[in-house]
Amino acid sequence: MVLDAGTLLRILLWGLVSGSVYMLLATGITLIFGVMKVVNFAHGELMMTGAFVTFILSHAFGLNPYVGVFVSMAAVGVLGIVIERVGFRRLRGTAKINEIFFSIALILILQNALARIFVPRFREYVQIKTPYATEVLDLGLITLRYDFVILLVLAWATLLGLWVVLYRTGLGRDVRGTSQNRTAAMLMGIRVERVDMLTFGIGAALGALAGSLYGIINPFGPYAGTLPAIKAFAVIILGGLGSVRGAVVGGLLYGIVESVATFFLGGSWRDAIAFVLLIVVLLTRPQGLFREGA
Amino acid sequence: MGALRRLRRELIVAALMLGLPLLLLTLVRELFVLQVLTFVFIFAIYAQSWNLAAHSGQFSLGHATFLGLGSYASIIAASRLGLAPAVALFVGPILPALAGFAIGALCRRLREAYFGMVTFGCTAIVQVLVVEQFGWLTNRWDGLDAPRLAPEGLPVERVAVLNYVISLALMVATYLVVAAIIRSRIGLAFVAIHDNETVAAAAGVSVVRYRLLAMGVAGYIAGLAGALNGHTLTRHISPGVFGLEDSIWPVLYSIAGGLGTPEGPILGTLLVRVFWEWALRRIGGFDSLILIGLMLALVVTALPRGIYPVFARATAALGARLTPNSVKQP
Amino acid sequence: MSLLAVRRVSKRFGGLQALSEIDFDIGPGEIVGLIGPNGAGKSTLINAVTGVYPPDAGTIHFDGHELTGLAADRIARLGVGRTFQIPQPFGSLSCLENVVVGLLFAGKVASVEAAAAEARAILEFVGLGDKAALAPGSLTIVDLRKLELARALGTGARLLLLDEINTGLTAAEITEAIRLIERVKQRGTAILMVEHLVRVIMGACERIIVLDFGRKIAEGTPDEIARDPAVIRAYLGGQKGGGDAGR
Repeated sequence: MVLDAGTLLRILLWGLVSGSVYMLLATGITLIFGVMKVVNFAHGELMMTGAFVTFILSHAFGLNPYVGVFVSMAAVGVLGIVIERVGFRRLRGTAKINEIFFSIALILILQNALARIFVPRFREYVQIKTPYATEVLDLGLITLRYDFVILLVLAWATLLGLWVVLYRTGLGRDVRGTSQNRTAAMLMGIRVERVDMLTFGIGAALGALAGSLYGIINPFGPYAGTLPAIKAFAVIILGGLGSVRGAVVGGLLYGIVESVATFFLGGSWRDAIAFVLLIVVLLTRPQGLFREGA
Repeated sequence: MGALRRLRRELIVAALMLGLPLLLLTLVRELFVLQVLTFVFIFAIYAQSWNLAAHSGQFSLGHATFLGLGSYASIIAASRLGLAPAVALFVGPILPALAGFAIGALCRRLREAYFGMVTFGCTAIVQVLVVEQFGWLTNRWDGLDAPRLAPEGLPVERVAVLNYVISLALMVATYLVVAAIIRSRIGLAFVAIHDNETVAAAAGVSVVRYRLLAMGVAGYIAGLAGALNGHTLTRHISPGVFGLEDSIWPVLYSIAGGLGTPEGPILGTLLVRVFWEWALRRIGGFDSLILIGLMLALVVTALPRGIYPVFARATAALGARLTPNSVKQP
Repeated sequence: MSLLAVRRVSKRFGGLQALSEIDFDIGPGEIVGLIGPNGAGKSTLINAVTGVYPPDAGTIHFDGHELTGLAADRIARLGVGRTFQIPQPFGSLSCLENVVVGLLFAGKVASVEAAAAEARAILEFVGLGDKAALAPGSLTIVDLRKLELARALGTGARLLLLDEINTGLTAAEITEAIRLIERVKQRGTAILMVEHLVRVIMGACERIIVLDFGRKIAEGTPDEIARDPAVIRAYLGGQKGGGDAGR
């Protein structure tokens, strides 16, 4: 297969873009896991809820999607807080399997709530249209969509913002402390319930952003969140559960690997690649590639 | 002796399970009711399979792998290899049994969330393999038509009755087999592994061997359900079976009926399915699923310690202790 | 001929050398104490012997069989039993059933009925006879420790590794525990017990092995150990733990 520079760049660019989405998704999940030690399988549904909110704001109210994402992040963040308070908090201290069951319940509720609004009107898939959908930057070898640029800027700016919150604010310090040692954090006076709640909200908001960005560059529907979320899980296992750095690096790397693999192996392997990778890693290094902890 | 008492109770339950639906058959001839109940019987077998794996601490989120492989293998055996459907029905599930051993071996050191993720991932991988690598055999996304289990020439009502009776019989048979396993020392090993693998090993239980056994047997039983479904109700199989829904349903059925008992999956499938049929017509598919999700969420969060202790309590309540020798009453 | 022969066993976890060149023997029917400050590697040693993880270096032989690298369940079937520092019973099973597991799978008892009968006897032996039908969730800490012991006995072990089985007991309970351990020894079972309580060590053990920072620093009779300057240094040299913690 002839691989010219332009194609290679295109593959890498797509890898970077989709990797940024995975990175946001993975960071949200890993933050939640790091602090609460909870695995929320319904994260993909939070992602789609975010995508859907941005879509509605754009479609029905004409709001620029790149503004709408912030509304979406806030809305889904609040939803995340509610889910944590009403659900996962109650399950703390019970058998871990209950979290899985609760996640399944969330999947059922969210997926079908979105579907009942979505499917009658829009059938299977929609895509968020942005004002820049047709604008491109001609860079000779490749043409760069404006949307890709904005997406990358947004994703990385958010990550930077998250870094600031984690390392330069009191909340961030509490989050990191709780993540490293919950008991010690409690003893030091950190209100861990509050940290749990806010972390889940932040994680959900990151998921909503991931979803919105995903929805700009991909067609999506109520059921489209499951696969990206599972891939994100594979990423954080590879990168180390609870490690934000692992999620960022892993997400990006995975995006690129997936893009390359899809090109060489064909579209149907795209989704299975994550699992093959996951299985290989779990067999060789069950503890992930990075150490646990922020 | 406890074991004998358990066996007698199981036989009574089995007799009821067999008798009541047969009685119903004489009273009701509405095709729709027969089909719903046939579905319940078949998917109770599927739920039974999931429950058995869960009994050993292996909570699979990719059980559709076995359901689908059972369908495919049986249908291919019947249509390509010329086996009679009644024979293919029992030969087909050997493939998912082997898959169960393989997946069990792959995940032998994984628990809970990790186990769930990998089993789910295996379903995705199997789907790709079925569509791509084995597409020449499986007809890719179009799927395969299944030969009928019932003999040719029978009118529709007779076929429905035959399917009903066969599925019922297989459900009861599966119940007795699973109950016997749970009652045996194998079942004891499963529970020990479920509770604490390290301690189980320290007590001499070969954790890997029993985990693999659980997955292999569960694979066969789920495959049987899939094969049965293919040859009776759907008459078709396509790669859509390897999706999330078919992996979630057995979890719902098992939880609804109470984890850990051999009767649970049957009761749970009946409850959930009947509710589903009712709700589907009243409020539509999406709302029904939302309701089911809400109920599950409620059950999981409202029970003081979540679903898991229901596992232990349900067994105590039914007097169905998890081991062969129940010396509960001093 | 020693029952357990541990030769130059080492184990490392990441940057921490948990065990270095541990070397000792245990004869049939002996009661040996294993003591040392917190973090000395006592539980690690027990885990290595019972196959929870393999040692990085060295060998372990039991009654002629090589244990190094074997799976934990095989080791249990060969006759090495253990209790856990934090009691971990099978929560879904009754006390009786907890003991039956060991009897059936490690003790090689043929039938379930026989196992149940023997399990009853073992529960009587440790003093839990009246609690056979109860689930472990309702037991006190004392009873849980007895259950740990009962379960380990159920495996038919000829060598029992007891990991801090007396922690959290009152003085009276400890006295009873020492008597129980004596009775176990009378059955011919060798015991290696990890302990912090001086009373128990001095009273029950014939021989004591002392670990510190993963190394064996002393071995001898209780009197010899009590006078050994290296041992005294290890305990008093800024480390907490050790000493009589009986409540």
